[in-house]
Amino acid sequence: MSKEEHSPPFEHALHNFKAYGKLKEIGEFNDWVVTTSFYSALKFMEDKLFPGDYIHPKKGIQDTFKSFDLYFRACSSLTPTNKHRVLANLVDEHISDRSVVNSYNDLKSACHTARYINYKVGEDRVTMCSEAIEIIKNFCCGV
Amino acid sequence: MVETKTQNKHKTLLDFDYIGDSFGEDDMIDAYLKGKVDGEKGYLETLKKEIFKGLQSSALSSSLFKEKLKGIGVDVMDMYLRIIDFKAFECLAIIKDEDFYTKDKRWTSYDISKMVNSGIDDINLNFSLMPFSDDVKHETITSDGYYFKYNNV
Repeated sequence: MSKEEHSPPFEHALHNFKAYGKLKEIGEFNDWVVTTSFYSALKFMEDKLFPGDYIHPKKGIQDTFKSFDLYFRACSSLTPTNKHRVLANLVDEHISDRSVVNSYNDLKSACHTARYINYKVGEDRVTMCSEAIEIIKNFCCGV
Repeated sequence: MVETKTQNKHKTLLDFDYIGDSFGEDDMIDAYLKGKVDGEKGYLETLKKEIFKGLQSSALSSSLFKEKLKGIGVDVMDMYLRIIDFKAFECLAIIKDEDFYTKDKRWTSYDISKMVNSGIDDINLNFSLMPFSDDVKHETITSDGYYFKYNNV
């Protein structure tokens, strides 16, 4: 892949980030602002972490994984598990910038608990998510 | 007695003759099946004990987490627990919204949750945080598998 080309997860991250921006401008869909900001962050993290060398969950030795999907496939063969949990653990263990890790936690919490307040997402939550996605985007885009 | 296909007690093995009829293949199959049932029952009991032990560990650690958050000025309004698998559990902590939206307090709470989890040997306990709201739907929380609610708030 040349410097000008980006990975599919990175392109997907930018696409989700664009959706987040448009929805934020509209101002009526705070729940979707939170969702798109989280899924933008998720794809940014996938791009940052893969391809990468990680301990193979089954073999117990370091192995190269070309994509998150391939890594998850290796994890899920052991016990039933959840993609979000697996990625969050990778972010926590392998992203050195704690503000990025904490921002990812902010977005994940905000998105996954929105259903517990019937998606009535207030401005505080949107502000938190906006700050978080900017931190992650800047980190991943090398700003 | 289990009906088996091995009705012929006079079939031969290489170098071995059948010399008795007090314990045959049918007895062996019966013993195996009974042993299997007993073994499964025993395994189920072990699994139940493991899950209960994990839940106890999670409950204790969640209370510790609440106390540690109190130490940094974060008020926990409510907590729920759910089972992910035999060795993995999750605690949802609902905290005062002013505390949740104070970035330093929130990020320190994440650090504390990681520290509490690392102190537990036998299970993995993940913590999720959310701000308190009048719109919290407890039945939705329960429908996501959070069947245990903190009762010492």
